[in-house]
Amino acid sequence: MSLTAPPKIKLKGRRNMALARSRSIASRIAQAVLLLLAVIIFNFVLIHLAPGDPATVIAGESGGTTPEQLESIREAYGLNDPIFVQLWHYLVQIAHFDLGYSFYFGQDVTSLIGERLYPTVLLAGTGMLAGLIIGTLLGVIAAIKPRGILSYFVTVIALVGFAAPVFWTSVLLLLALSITIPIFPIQGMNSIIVSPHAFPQIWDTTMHLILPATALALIYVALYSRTARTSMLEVLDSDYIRTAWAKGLGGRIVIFKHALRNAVLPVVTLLGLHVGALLSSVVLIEVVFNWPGLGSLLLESILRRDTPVILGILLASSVIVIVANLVTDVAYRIIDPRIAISGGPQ
Amino acid sequence: MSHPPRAVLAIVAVLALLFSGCASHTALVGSDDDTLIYGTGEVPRVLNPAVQSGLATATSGAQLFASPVLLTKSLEPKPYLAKSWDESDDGKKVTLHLVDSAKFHDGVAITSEDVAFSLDVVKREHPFGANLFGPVTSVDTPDKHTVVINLSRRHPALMTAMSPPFLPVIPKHVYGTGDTVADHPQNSQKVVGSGPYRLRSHSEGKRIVFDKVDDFFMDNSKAPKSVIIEIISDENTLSLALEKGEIDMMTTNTPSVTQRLSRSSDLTVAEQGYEGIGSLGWLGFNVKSKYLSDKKVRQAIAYSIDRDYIINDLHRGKLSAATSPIASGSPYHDDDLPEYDRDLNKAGDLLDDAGYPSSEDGKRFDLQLDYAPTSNEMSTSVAETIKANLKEVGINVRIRSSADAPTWGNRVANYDYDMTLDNVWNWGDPVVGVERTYLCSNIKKGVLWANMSQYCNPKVDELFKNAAAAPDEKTRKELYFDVQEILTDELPILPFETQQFRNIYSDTVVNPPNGPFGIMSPLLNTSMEG
Repeated sequence: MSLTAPPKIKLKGRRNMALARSRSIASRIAQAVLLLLAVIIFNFVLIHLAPGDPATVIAGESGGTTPEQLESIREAYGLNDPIFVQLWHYLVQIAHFDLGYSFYFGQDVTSLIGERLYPTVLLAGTGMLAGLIIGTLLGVIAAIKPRGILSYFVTVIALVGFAAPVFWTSVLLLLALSITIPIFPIQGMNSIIVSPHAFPQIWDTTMHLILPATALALIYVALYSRTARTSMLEVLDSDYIRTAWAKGLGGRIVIFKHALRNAVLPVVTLLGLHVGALLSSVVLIEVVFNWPGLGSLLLESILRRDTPVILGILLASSVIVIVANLVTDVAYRIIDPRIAISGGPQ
Repeated sequence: MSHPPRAVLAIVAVLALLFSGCASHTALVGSDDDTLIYGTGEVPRVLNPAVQSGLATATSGAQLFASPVLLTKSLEPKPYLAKSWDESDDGKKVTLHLVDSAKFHDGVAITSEDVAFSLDVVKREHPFGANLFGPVTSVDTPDKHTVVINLSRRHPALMTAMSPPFLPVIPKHVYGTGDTVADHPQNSQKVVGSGPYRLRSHSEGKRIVFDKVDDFFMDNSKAPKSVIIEIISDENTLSLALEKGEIDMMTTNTPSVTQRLSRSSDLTVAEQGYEGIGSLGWLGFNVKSKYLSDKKVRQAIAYSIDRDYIINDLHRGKLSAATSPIASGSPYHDDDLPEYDRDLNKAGDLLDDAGYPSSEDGKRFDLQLDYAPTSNEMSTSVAETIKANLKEVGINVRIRSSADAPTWGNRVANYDYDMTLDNVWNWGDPVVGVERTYLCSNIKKGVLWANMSQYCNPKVDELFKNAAAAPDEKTRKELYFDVQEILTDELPILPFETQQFRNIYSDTVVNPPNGPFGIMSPLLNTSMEG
């Protein structure tokens, strides 16, 4: 008996922990659902309170239109109902995974967003990844010699990256590398007409991607190089790095294996936070480069007051951000059970 | 054997995943031989001009659908689906004789029934329907190739109304299946047309691709095999794409773009075209607002504005002055109207006469100025100029911007404004695009580009009404001259410039569509070199 007692206690403790973790995760999921509901309602009310009548856009250039024609357009699109009735209809629709129909294109919003999602993921993914890698590397190199030329160069890059509006850097990139030195294409995700073979198509997309991804990456290079530099300077000053040097380890191993692993954590945290703000930069870049993604669709829809599309894109981006945060939280709780018990990150 | 670091493998895997779907995501697979690529920032809502007005829809519509007539440069009708036509002596009956070899894209023959059906749809469902075909009482179809249009009165604008931007001939057997055509699913996809090009694909907001109809009833043998409309919403990117040769042609009325592209030796800026559009930049007055109800105040504002600066400096001399509500490309435009050359003393006197003397600090009153949110060059800069100009005569202008077109439209269509900058088209005939701005009967709250100034003068209404039914061109012209004289004096609207649209195209484009409706015309005579 005495031999089996301790495992029982352990098992009980594990069960309690698992229960606490499950409760914590369930509560976090419930919070996420409530947050999503709040976001949907907030977006809906905000857009519907803005002045402007989508019926005038649907009618097109008119002047000969009768008020009756406009009225019938409003009736057909449910624009005459009180806002709370419209909101209720919208929530019921969302509950059925239906994002509605675009006022402007008369196409269902889900398929419109579906068509545009991949280009945005490609651009945002490549831009962020490039920003993360280049930014971190520049930060590390700058931290090795904090008073060296490269360190000052990183500071300048960071200042320019922060200060320069992304549409301006985009136009400069176009002028420099598409017009003056004609290396890259001007616009779109592919040439209008391409070869039927797979490799030339991928090459074509890559050539189209480089400038917009660079414009996006510049923002993140600026952010991550500064963060990585500061973090790396702190880590390089710590005892275990001194120990590593004292052991006679090579520079590359000390910097990249011991120091970088710890220094990169704040950068990764920052990366997670930036996903939410990504869309605002992507909108401008997609417009300048005519990249056929969600950002350009969002802008076009805002200018035409195409409410179902605007709401659909905002909902999609909200879901991405909320799910990303949820996954992070759940991961924290699984990795560190103390968070589950205390109810929040320490 | 050393392995690549895991981080490198992870990056390669992420990139491979990202690129896995890129192959021909939006591109057209094939060759670009004999293809015209037209770039535009205009996004069509639908491709069927029977139910939608505007440049975007009309551009595609003119390729997809044939119309009874085409218009010459002087806006005279010439045969298209109708090989000839007769008019009764009293002008109340117009008979069209259709070509007998025309077919829709699904192979069904085009008959008089289809023309009658199309005319009825446009009359009922097009925003200009009442103006275009209001006097049409009935349409008879005595045989497959004869259309008899019965009118309540003479309707000189009828031939313009039957040209491509306004009357596409749509198949009754396709679009006549429901109550309305406006919400028909084949307005955007799987369009069955009657024009020189059939729809190959339409990727909403991105690209529209057309293929030439080989057995079209008119000679289109030299026309490009395919036409691609590439939508590029940013005009700077659009113009760079033209310079780089990614597109073959674009259309613009933006002076800076015209000026920049005209310097390129590989591009041609058309000097003519789009006369039928009659695009006017104007300052609209709300004549029911406190100060602007007085004609003298409106005239004073006209004398205060420095039009020379707007046209020659701000707009780089690429646009021309407008003096009349009927644009200079129209046969009804009066060249001899009085002009409001800048004269601050006269403006001051008029404001004094109106009972608004300047106070000690030189100030008289405040006005709000809205503007349609187009490009900065065409709206914000002009608004700032007008603000500075009016300050010199003691009128303090508050500029109010609108975030988007619906916001601005909602304000001005509901009369929540004093003055607004706007760009309005004449659309070929005064019946279609001019009288809507001035008729008492067209003061319709909430309707954009109706009579938004709320100006009402029964004499003007009568002149417009008589001109719309004038027995001959000479009389019609005289009546429109009279109405222009009144409107130029009473100034419910102050037109200040003709915002000339121009095609800009590469050397490979031969005989581009530089007619009165420009790209809103079928590409029958255009071809690609080489």
